[in-house]
This record gives sequence, structure tokens and C-alpha cells, in this order.
Amino acid sequence: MSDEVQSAKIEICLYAFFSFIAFAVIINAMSLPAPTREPLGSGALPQAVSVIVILLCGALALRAGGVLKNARKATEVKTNEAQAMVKSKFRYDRAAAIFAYALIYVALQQSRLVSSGLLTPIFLGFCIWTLQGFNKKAILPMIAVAVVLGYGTSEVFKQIFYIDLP
Amino acid sequence: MDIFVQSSLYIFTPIPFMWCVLGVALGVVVGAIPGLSGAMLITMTVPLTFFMGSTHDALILLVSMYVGSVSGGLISATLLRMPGTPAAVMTTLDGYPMAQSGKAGRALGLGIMASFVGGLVSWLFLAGLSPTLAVWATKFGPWEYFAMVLMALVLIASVSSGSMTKGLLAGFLGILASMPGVDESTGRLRLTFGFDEWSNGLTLLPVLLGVFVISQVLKYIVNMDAKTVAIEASNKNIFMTLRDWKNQAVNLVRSSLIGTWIGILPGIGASIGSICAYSVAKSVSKTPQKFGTGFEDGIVASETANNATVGGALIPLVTMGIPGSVIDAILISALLMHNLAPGPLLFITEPDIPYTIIATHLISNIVMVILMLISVKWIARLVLVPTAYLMPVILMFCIIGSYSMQNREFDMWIALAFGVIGFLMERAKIPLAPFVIGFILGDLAEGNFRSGLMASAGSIEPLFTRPISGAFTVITALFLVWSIYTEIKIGRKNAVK
Repeated sequence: MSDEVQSAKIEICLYAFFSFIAFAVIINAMSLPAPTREPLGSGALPQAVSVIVILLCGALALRAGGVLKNARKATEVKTNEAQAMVKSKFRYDRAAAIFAYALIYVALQQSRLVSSGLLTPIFLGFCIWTLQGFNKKAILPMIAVAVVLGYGTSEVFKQIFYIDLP
Repeated sequence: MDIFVQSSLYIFTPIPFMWCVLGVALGVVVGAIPGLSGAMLITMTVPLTFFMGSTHDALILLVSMYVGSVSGGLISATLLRMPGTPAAVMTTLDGYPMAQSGKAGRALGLGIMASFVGGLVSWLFLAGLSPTLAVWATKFGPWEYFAMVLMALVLIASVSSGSMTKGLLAGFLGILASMPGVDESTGRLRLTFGFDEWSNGLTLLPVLLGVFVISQVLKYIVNMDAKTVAIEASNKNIFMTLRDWKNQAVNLVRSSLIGTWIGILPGIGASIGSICAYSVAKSVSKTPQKFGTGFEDGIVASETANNATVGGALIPLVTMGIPGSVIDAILISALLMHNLAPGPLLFITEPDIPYTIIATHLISNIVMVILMLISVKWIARLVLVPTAYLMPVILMFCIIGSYSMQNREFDMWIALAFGVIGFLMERAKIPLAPFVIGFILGDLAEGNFRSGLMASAGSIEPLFTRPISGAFTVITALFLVWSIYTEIKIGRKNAVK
């Protein structure tokens, strides 16, 4: 049940986000000029699709809200949910950490302050070590894999595929 | 026929044959590793194919990967009770119990041979039907194309796991994501929100890498703690006897036909084919109670059908440029990125391209059966590869791969953003396949709809009155009504519970 509640909450947030995007599209499409040589013009279809998206999001959000309402009525949920949250928080933390590393990696690539040949092994190393649970015994194999694959891939892309990496 | 022979002979020259073997081997390994899929492998490989020098070699590699990945799912389904690919989900029901009872070799052997037969039968349809269908499809006008894209979206939405409403939402979101950039009908910029980088729209590859690969990497990391107990693979009784062939003949043919047909339907992939064939095999069996307990017929039905969908799904791809499955949608994007316009005219303008796909499908099936029979025991060991090393490497390839297409930093951000969106969509049980199909076919649908309207002075009447588009529209409406009815019925059942 706790998983259902969590899923329903995520669903509602996601539908709100999609509706916001669709709403922004409708507003933006309004500024497009009216059609001259064809019946529809550039803005009509994006607006129509956005309206459909908003309607579908609304219907699905209502359904998810119903699930949330029913689930809250259950009495024993709270303890289970708390346990599940503790358990699942750990797992989500790890995914969030890896994603944060990826964001930093991309930002540094874009800034071109550090060479990709150095940055990629560091990124790989951090990711592997995090996924290994910061196990000290895993440091040596982690460094070996990160250096060989990170530096190797970066150089292959730069020297063989002529990709403009920093 | 000459072109087919030439294409086949070309594949047997050293370099293309190496790509074929490499593609099948990588496909089998990736298909066998739970959490990785053929869609991930093919999406990650697309940017690398630009450096291969030949579009034909690129297609040989990608189609071989497709065949290999659908077949490889059998290994982990049998040995771990975890389908390596969604297509092998039904194989777990009988494959794992059979392996548990000490018949792992036999289960794998049956699955491998069934996969081969499924692939071969669907290839017969692919090779036999495609040229004729392509000629027929040249008669398609804008309304037919629009109706077909609509049908593809509704079909995939209605068979998506979860609910059709979510499938439809995903499809329309995909269409919406395809809209920013230059409006092809007027040449005007739209929906760029002031970002210059959006003037070319959202680039296909970063979106695919994000939705299909980065989201799966995140999902896998979240679920990494799940423990699995593996059964050791063996080569014992791996070859089917004459008696086996005789006993399974009807099942093989029936499941091949079901798989091929499901594959031909736009948008529906191998997992649905496998579920349908398994259900039919169970319902016509004299001993349906044995299904799910390690019954040979179950493995044969599932594996035959999922491989048969590959050939079936390639039919709409090579003849009309419409994806028969998600991987076909990625193949279409690969063709587009190689400056080829998928569709019926490809048979006329560059016939060697569709015939290379057709020939590769046959040869990679043969390579697959030989490779798997010889090396399944060793491939099975790769199933337990440490994911702490694998996932970061995949993530790194995605980021660099998305950048490599246009040397544009913006694409790396797009890949990451769509990775999170894809991850959250999966978490909310919104299927990703309709999103990708909508994204790839959105332009085609809009362009044809607007062309049709211009030709008919703004009337949508031809959509219903032209025979082919009318038929597609009726099928779409029927599927829509059926799906809504089923969803309401299931909703009421759940409410009663």
C-alpha cells in the first residue's frame, strides 16, 4: 500500500508538471501569427495536443487522487510506509547521487575548464565507488576501471572519432 | 531478387560479417543481462555508426543487435527467473522451473531453437510481403499516413501495461516534444521559448538516450539491492531431437504466425507477441495445468513468438516507414540520421537498403542459433556482471554519445533531462514506448495532416471516405472503444475489491 501512496504522489506531481508544460505551450503558440496559405497554421496543432495532454493529465490526476484518498483510510499503513520510506530512501539517495555527479560532469564538460581525459575517469570513479557503498576494498579496482575506461573512451572519441571534447 | 542476393553476399564479406557476428553477440549478452535491453544497446550504438563509413554496415550491426537482444533474454529468464528483456517475460514461467529441476540445458536448447524457427518463419513473411506491400504503400496519400500514425499510437497505447489513458498521455507528450523548432509547413520558428538551441527542435538521439537508457540506468540503480539466485547453465540435452520437432511442430508454426502478425501491427512489440502465443498455446493444450510448472510447450510458444515479432515488425518499417516496435522506432531514427527517408520509396530509390535489412535478419538468425548453441554456457556467466561497474560506464557513454552527434553541450542536458522524465514516467507506470513512437512519428503525422487539409480545402472528410484511411480510422476507433471498455471494467472490479 505504501508503494501505491508513493506512486500516486509522484503521479500527481508529474501530471501537474506535464500540465504546466502544456499550458506554457498553449500560451507560447498564441503568439504565433495566424495562418495565411493553409487552414491550420503553426500554432493550432500544438495547442490542440496540449489541450488533450491537460485533459488526460486531469483525468489521471483525479484517479491518482482517489487512490491516495483510499490509501490514507487504511490504519496500519503508517508503520509500513515509514519502514518502506527508510528502505527506499537509501536506494533513491544512491540514484540521486549518481545523477548529481552526472550534472556536475556535464557542467564541467561545458565549462571546458578540465580536460575530458581527466574528468571522465574521476566521474566514473565516483560513480563506481558510490555504487560499491564507499567500500575501501573496492578502491583499487575502481581506480583501474575508471582510468582505463574513462581515459580510454575519452581519447577514442577525441582522437579516432574527432569529437570536440574538452 | 538480384538485389537480395547481392545484399546477402555483401554481408558474407569479411567486414560486414564481422559486424553481423559482433551485433548478434553483443545483442545476446545485453539481452541476457537483466536491466539492459536491446533498445538501450541500439540507442547507444547509433551515434557510433556514423564513424563506420557505410550505412549498410551500420544497418547490419543494428539489425543483428536487434535479433540478438530478443534472443538473449531467454538466458536470464531461464537461469535467474528475471527476463533479460521484456520479451522474455513469459519464458520465465516455464524456463526457470525447468532449470530448477536440473534441465537448464534442455530449457535453453528448446528456447534457442524456438527462437530460430520464429525468426525464420517471420523472415519468410518479411521477404515475401515487403516488396509487394511497398508497392501498395506508394499509393498512400497524406490521409493514409496520418490515419496510420494515429492507429499506431492508439494500438500501442491500448496494449501498454498499466492503462490506456497513460499510454495515450505518453503518446501525445511524445508528439508535443516533437513540435518545437522549425515548422516544416511554414518554415517559421515555434515553441522555442527564447532558446536558440531549440531552433532545430529536440534532437532525436539525446531524447532517445535519455528516455531509454539513462532512465533505465537510474531505475536499475534504485533496484540494485535485489538479490538473485542463479542456476548454472549446461549444454546437456541442448539439441532438440526429431521427436521434439514432431511434438512441437504445431506449436512452433502457430506461435510463429501469431508473433509475426503481432509484430506487423504498428507499435506493438515482442512482449505482447510472446504473451499472446503463450496464452493461445495454453488454451488449446490438452494439459493447460502444466503451463507455468516447467512445461516445454510454454518455453517454445514464448520464444518462438518473441523472435517472430522481429521479422513481423520490420515489415511496416521497410515498407511504410512505420515502426512495428520500439526498437524499430529507433531503427527509423537511425535511418533518418543517416539521411535516408524510411518509407515505400526506399524500395525504389535505394532498394539495397531495405534488402540489406531483410538479408541481415536472415543471416543474423543463423548466426544467433550457432552462437547461442555453442556458447550459451559462457554467456550465462556474464549475466552476473557487477552492475556497480556497468551502470556508470553506460551513463558515461550516453553523455558522450549525445554530445558526439552535433558537438553541442545542450544535447547532454537534454539527455539528462529526458532521463529523469523517463525515470519518473516509469515510476508512475506511464509507458515509455508510446512516448518514443509519438516523438518519432509526430512530425510525420502533423505534416501529413496539414498537407491533407490543404489538398481538401480544410475538410477532414477524406480521412473517413478514402478506403484505406477510412479502414485505419475504423480500426483505431474500435481499439479505442475496446480499450476504454476494458479499462472501465477493470476499474469497477478494483473498486469492488
